[in-house]
Amino acid sequence: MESTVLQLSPDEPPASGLRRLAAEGGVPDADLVLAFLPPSDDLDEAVGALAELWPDAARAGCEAMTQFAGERLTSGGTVHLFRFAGDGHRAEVELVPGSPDEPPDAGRLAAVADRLADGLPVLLIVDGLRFPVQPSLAALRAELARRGIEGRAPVAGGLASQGEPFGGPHARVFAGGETHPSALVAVTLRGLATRIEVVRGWDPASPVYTVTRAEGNVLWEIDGEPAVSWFRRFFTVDGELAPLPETAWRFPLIVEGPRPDRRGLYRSMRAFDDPPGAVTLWGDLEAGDEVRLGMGNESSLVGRAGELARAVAGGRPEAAILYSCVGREVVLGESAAQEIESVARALGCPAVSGFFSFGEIGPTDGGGPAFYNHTAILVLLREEETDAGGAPEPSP
Amino acid sequence: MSHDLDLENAVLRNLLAHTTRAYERQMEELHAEKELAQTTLASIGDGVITTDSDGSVRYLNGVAADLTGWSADEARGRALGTVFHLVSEASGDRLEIPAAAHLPAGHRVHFREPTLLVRRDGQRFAVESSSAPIRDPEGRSIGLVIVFQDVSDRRLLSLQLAHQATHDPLTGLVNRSAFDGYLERTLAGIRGGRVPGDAVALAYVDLDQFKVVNDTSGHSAGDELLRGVAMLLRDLVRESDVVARLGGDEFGVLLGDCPLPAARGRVDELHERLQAFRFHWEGRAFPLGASVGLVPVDDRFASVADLLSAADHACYVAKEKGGARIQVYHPEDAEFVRRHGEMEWVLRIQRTLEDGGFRLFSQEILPLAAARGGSAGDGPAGSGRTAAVGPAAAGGGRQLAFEVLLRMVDGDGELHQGTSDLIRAAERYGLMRRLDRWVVEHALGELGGLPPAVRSRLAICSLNLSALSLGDEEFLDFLEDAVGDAGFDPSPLCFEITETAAIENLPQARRLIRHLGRRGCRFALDDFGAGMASYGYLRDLRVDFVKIAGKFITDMVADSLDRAMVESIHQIAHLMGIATIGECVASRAALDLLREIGVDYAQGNWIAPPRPLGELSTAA
Repeated sequence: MESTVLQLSPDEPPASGLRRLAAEGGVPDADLVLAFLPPSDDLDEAVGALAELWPDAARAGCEAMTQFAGERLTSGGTVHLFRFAGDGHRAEVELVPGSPDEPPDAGRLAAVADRLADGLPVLLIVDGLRFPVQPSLAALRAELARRGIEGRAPVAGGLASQGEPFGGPHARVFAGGETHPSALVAVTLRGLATRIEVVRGWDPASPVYTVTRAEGNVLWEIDGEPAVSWFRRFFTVDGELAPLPETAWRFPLIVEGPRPDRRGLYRSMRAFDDPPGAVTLWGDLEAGDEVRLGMGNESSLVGRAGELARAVAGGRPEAAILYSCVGREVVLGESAAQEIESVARALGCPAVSGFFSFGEIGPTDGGGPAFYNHTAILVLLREEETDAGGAPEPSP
Repeated sequence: MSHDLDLENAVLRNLLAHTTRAYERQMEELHAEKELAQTTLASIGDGVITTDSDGSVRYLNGVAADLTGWSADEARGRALGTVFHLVSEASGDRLEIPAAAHLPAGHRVHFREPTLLVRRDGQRFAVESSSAPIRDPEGRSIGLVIVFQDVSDRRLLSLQLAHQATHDPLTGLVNRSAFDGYLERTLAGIRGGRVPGDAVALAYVDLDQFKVVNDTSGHSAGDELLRGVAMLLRDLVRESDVVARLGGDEFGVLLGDCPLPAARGRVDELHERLQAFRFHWEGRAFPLGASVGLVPVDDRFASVADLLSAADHACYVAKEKGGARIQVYHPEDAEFVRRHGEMEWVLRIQRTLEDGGFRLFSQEILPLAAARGGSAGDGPAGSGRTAAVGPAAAGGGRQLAFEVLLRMVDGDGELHQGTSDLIRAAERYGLMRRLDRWVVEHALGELGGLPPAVRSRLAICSLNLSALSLGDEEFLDFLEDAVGDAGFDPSPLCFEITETAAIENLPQARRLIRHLGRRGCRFALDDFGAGMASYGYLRDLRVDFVKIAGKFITDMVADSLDRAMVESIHQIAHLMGIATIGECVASRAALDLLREIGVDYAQGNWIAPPRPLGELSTAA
């Protein structure tokens, strides 16, 4: 497999940048094009440019505020090209629209489950602002369970980001030549072996408490105490409440159990005292979840990402994609670039792409796929050889 | 979004403060809990020892200190086996509790065998202990907790109770039920090939003179004699043999690893010693003798009952030969004993006839057509009903239908329930005609003595005639005369003859039916189906009732073949105009089924048990 990551300049529209690159020296052929492009009114044109340059390739992607290209961050857009060597090795792209009012088609989700059940890796790129991610993942888990797939399925992904952090009405995704404001794109990889790792790096900052009342993403009570007063206890400084939810992004809730399939999930705050008395999160919590506040810094977040990348680099990946949470970007601030730099260097692989996402999708120890916040999902890719030699360990 | 480090640090301080407060509260709670736990551990009656993961003692409570002889301070840091020194009660071998590090997850240590704790000063206590790993919140094993109790008293009590349950309180020998267990295990061992088939023998010892001692010198003397014999037997057998008191003056000796020739030699010696034994009581010396049945225990005996029965039979034969001898079991002994038993019955029948010990009973025959839809027969036996059932008689009240049954009162005044042995013996030894005569004379007498109002309600009074009586012309003459002289309308009388007896004595049966039929008497073919179920004879004999054999009625609810037999007999009989009676009804289900089939009458203990015939005179 040949894999190349093109970094687009923030100084010109993506469509122009792409056409200019092609004119200057040509761009490599590709069977799969993954593009993470800056939110702009020019997105449709950029998607059109991709179709012009790689008309026969499977094409998918989304808009993202900050993208990764090799060891660097960029805001001009990233295009990741894959050229497969093996016969029959290819990618298939499918767009699944859905919104809170119009749930995604169950048959299409079942088709995704079929592919996962066949052991095929699937990358998910999702609008995290309108598309009902968590119900869809729950449906996918149920479909996998129905097919007897109880363990980790090779599925990973990230939620498109748009506007100011966590702002905007929707974040667009695209499949082929079509952009959609409220959809999920599933990229099925045939002939590629994957390894998927969940990068955490948050340290415990409080004792463990028990969620006593929660409804979906709305947290009402912890240890019998209203969630608002529970958070207020920690986030009142000099008699005044610190800005929320922003301050709380640095202190995500870590689910410690007791259910194995929820252990290790992270939840960050979306709105404080909204609805009144409650805290709205970016992911769901359930009554009975045991949670604690976590804290992270450059050392713990970047350090952990690098450690993990070094640990898995032995599989000699030919490409990598990192979906890292904007919550980590907030905490890392000016050091945000160090995370991708650390990962790319540890992997020894230049073809690394990805973006800071509004939420991540990855496996859990007790089952999957699950919706994460504040994590980074690292996907390692290597084309399978016909003699099966030298491929990285597939995702268990 | 600004990265306000001060703000972040302030939140961290908050977290730290709250966490510290929470930690302090937890520590206070932990401390209180620890205090409580220590107080609890010190107060409870069980010994408690905890160790670290390597098996060194960390803590022991007061009870543990008392029982081990080690104080908590002395014990701390020592190996568990030093402080908690356990040995097997049976072998004395040292028992080790593995260190927690070597215990698999979820594993506990219990010793199934009785164990003794050796205290520091060497004193031993019977203990029961349980050891389990202590785990930290992550599930790692960090030590072991051993909880133990001094069970010396309980074990002694349990040994006493076990001994009481398996031993005869008078002699201290193994009791009957425990002996059965030994025999069961021996038979199972033989069947399973674990015990050689020719290596075990059973001796059944019955004292010959015990009754004399008991009757002349009282029960105390008898008890003393039994104790003496028990001691003698115990002294004479090997440690591995089992001696049991089987009841009264009967003893069993199970000789293991002892083929028949050797067993014979051993039992000879035992018998000689019993013969030579003199029981002294209040200045008198009683000679003692014993009859012994000896059985080689092998796989021909399917059960303990079979084996004990064989030994009993052999012993019985020894006694019948004059006692004071040993009889080795032969399979033919059983037949001998049965015959002998029948002869005893003959003596009893003769004595009972002379002493006036026979009684007549009646058992209701329930007309099902009349009871259909009514309440008769709806309740089980014992509802106080006599034979007062059936359609209303002309003079008022219900008609009476019943079978007359013979019962014998034993020498001790008790009513003897079973009559099958009696009938079999009477038939074999020529007493049946006497019995039949007695029944006819007394039944007609009692029926003749009934108040007219009751007698007018008689519908069926059924009397049994044996095959031997049926074949006896003289008896038939007697019977015709007796009916003629009864002094009442004989039409309710019904004579029951079995199918087999009727076929064997066909000419006589025809004559009886013809002669007494003219007087209005009726006839029933009893136990039909038990023999040949010959419908040809049924037509030939012109009987009025067929009593369907009880063996079909008993099982017809569960057995479709039996039900088919009942249906078949009923249908054929009805085609011939013969009424049917189902006997031996033992359940509501059987009664309902007879009704469903259409059988005319039913009889059995569930409907009404037999009652003295004399009670008829008071039938309401």
